[in-house]
Formats: sequence, C-alpha cells, structure tokens
Amino acid sequence: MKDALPLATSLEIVVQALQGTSLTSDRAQGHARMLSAAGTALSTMMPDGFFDTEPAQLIVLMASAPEGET
Amino acid sequence: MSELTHLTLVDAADGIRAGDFSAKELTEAMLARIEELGGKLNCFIDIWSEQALAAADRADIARARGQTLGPLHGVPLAHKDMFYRAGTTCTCGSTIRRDFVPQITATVLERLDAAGATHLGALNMSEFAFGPTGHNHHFGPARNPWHRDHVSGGSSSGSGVAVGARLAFGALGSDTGGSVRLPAAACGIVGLKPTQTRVSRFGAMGLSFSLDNIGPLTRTVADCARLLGVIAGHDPRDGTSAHVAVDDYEAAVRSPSVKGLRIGRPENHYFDHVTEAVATCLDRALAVFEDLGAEIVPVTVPAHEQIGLLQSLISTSEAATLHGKWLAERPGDYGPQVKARIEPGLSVPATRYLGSLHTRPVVLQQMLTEVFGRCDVLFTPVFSAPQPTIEASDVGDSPGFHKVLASLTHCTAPINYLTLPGLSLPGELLNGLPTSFQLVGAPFQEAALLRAGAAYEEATRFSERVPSHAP
Repeated sequence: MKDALPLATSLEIVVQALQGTSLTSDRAQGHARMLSAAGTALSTMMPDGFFDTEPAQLIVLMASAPEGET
Repeated sequence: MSELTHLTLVDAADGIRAGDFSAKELTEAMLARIEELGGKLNCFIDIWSEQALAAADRADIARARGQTLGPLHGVPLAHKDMFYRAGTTCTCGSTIRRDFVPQITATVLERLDAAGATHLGALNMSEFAFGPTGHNHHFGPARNPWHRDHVSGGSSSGSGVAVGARLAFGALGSDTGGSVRLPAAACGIVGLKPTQTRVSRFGAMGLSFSLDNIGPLTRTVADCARLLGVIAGHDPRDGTSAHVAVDDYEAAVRSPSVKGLRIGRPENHYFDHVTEAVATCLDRALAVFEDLGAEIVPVTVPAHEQIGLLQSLISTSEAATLHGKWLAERPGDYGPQVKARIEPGLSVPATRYLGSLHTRPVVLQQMLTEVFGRCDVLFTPVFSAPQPTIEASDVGDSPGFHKVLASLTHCTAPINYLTLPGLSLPGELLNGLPTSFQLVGAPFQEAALLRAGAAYEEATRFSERVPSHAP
C-alpha cells in the first residue's frame, strides 16, 4: 500500500489514541512487560483458562467469614 | 515540651471529660508544638489555628453546660488532606486541586465531628495518595520524626509524622496498597487498614475504588480502637459500605490477651526480602507473642507471586479512569512519578483488568481455607528493610523506579487485594529508627487484631518511646 505506515509508528499512534497522551518508548516497553506478566499471572491462577467466578462473589465471601472476634 | 501534647488520645479525652484541663488548653499546647516542629517536619499543608481554638471554646462551653460529651470531645486531630469538608479547600496533595473547594463533607469527618473531635489542619500526603515513600513533588517530603533525613512512608505521610511527633492526637489516612500501614510503620506508631467496606468512603478522594480504605493512625492501640469505633459502620451514602455489625473495639483492648491465639508466620512471600537486621527484630516481636501464650504456626500463603501484580493492575486502571481528563489536559501539573504510574492504566485492556477482579474471590477463598483455617492472625513484616533516606528514595520517574516502589509495598499491597484488615505495630528500634510488623486477620476481625496488638503494647510499652527528632 502506498500510504502504509511502519508498524512501530502505527502502534505508537494506536497507543496515543488510547491514552490521549504521549508515551515514551521506555514507558511503552515497561507497560508491555507489565501486561505480559499480568497475562501470565492470570493464566497461572486460572489454569483451565476459564473464569468460573464472578467478582461480586467477593462480598459474599467476606460476609461469610466469621463475624466478631476470633 | 508540654506534658499535655504527650498524652494519648484516650487520656486527652478522659482529661477533658474529668476537667483536668480544658479543650482550649490542649489545643493551645498542640498549636504551640506545631509552630515549633510542624515546619521542620513538613507535615502540615494548612494549619487552622483560629478555627481549632474556636472549636475548643465551643467544646469547653458544652462541657460547662453539662451537655452529653462524645468519645472524642475536645480532642484535636488532623487528617490527610483528601477528606472533603464543604467550603474548605482540599488539595489532595496536588497542584491540580490546590484551589479545590468541595461541596460535601466526608462521612468520616461528620462522624468525628459528632464524637466531639476538633481539627488542627490539613496534613501533607503523597500527590493524589499515590506513593509509598512520602515524597511530594509539590509540597515537599514529610520528614520522619525519628530522623528527619529519612522517609516518613506514604501516602498518608503527614498523618504518620504528625501523630508520631505528637502534633495531633490521631489522624485519618487512606490505604490502597499500604498507605496507612507504611507511614505508621516508618514513624513508629499504630496504623490500621480496616476490612474493605468497613469504613465509609463517601467524601474521600478516590484513587482505586476496588482497593481504597480509610483508617486511623494513632500512638496507641487503644487510641486506634476509639477512632475506628467512631468511623466504622454502614453509611447509606456509600453503597459499598458493609452492613456487618461493628464490634466493640474498645472492649477488646481493655482485655488484652493472646493466650491460645494461633499466629501464622508465612513461609513464603512475606519474608523473602527481609534484611538480616530487620529479621532479628521481627523474630523478637514474634517471641513477645509466644511468651504471652500465643502459638506460632507456619503457613503458606496462596498465589502471592501473582497478586501483587494484579493489585497494581487494578489500582493503575482505576486511577487512570479517575485521572484521564487531567492527564490529557494538564499533564504538566502532575509530579513525574505520579504521572508515570497512572498513565499506563489508560491502555490496560479491559479483559486484563476484569481478570484481575475475577481472581480476587478465588484467592480470598484459598486464604480463608488454607491460612485462616490454620491460624487466627497472620504475622508479616511491613517494610522488608530499614526506612531509606529521603534522598536515596527520591527516584522520581527514573528507570527502575517501579522496582523501588514495589519493594516497599511487597508486604502491604497483597492485603488490599485480599480485602483483609491489617494492623501495623511498632517493633524495636534499629539504628534509631522504628521497625514494624503487621497483623492480618480474616474479614471484619479488627477486634481480634486490636486485642492482640494491645497485649503486645502492654508487654513492650512501645508507645512511650519519644522520637529523637521531635522530643
């Protein structure tokens, strides 16, 4: 394509559009590492790959813990 | 030094009630001490002398008329500058909100007011409550009362310093990843992050609504129990606040005991990076509990290699949601570090964020079964190493700053992810600076933590120590 942008430029434009702010390459790389690590962490915690839970269950669990002093 | 300023919060309240001194005498003594030390420690953003003295006069008149007195009648407090009071400027430690005047009053302030407390001023804090060291790009760092070259801890930096230096009888802070417990630990005082939903957040500046908690910083465990008793409980204006009954925390500390208490010592995560000297202090603190009759139980905490990261993902995403407009329109008005920490949250995929929330009940269930099925209370460090100097930890947004900050919240941030209550208590002094540890309980077990903390305090008398840089 005549108007094709280099991949790095395209990604930078996408990230800036998402963020509405500028992002240095150092910061973008650090951010990418964090997202990758978070993906790995979630995979580790949900090994079958499906979230058979829902966040609101947290409140139920908290309330089910023994009330009052131990 | 005035003897009045060195009273505990409970003794100050009792003294006013008994007529041993007036609220005005107490307030004047405190304001004189703030005049002497407040600037050196940089813990106040604003001092409200006139209003505090007028409130003290009203408190004394009420007592003279025989009116019913609340549990904090006439006692001067001060709080992190992020609790809204209608008509009063609230900076949130920032330039962006330097002239912000809220139209509402925080529920926690209303409850303190109703209990008779008065207020001395607004306390320094990390910008927008986002920073564990106590540095502030706009207002300067709060300084540790044990050594002014060292950090105060953050983000409730001014709260830790003011209470530690006897410039307020108690203070409120907020805790999203350790921001009550870290300054309490650094400044040698007591700090409590209550169970998520235990205290109303209405009218408090938000940082991360899934993780934010409001909690007290005090010199003694009994003071902490009194403040928590005043601020805890459901609030119709905060739909997330729990309907769980509030325990009698003061009764718990009046009968301090750990006899038969099973204290879990984690074999993974929490002690991984503890220095040898800090480890020795932690062992001695644990030995105090053992001598008092507690049983020490080794436990393994689940999923902790992951949840620190997930906590960070949640806080970053939610903070970016709140700050998106300002980040786009006023990026130069943020301190470099706060901007660098919040900005990435703007492009966290929704699936990663929601995944991090989905796993919370899974890990909490594991904690309740695998940890709190074996022990009543968990014992962990707060800091893994001695408090760094202000200079050494002034990393701004330089390469690697995330690692420095993450090392400081290694032991506190997981507790926010898990919604649990955490009580920070002072340990021995190490090279003139306080060490600390944390007791963690199952949800809504604050009374058990306070009872255990009171037993430890009775044995060690840590609250009688006076900071060397705030004599």
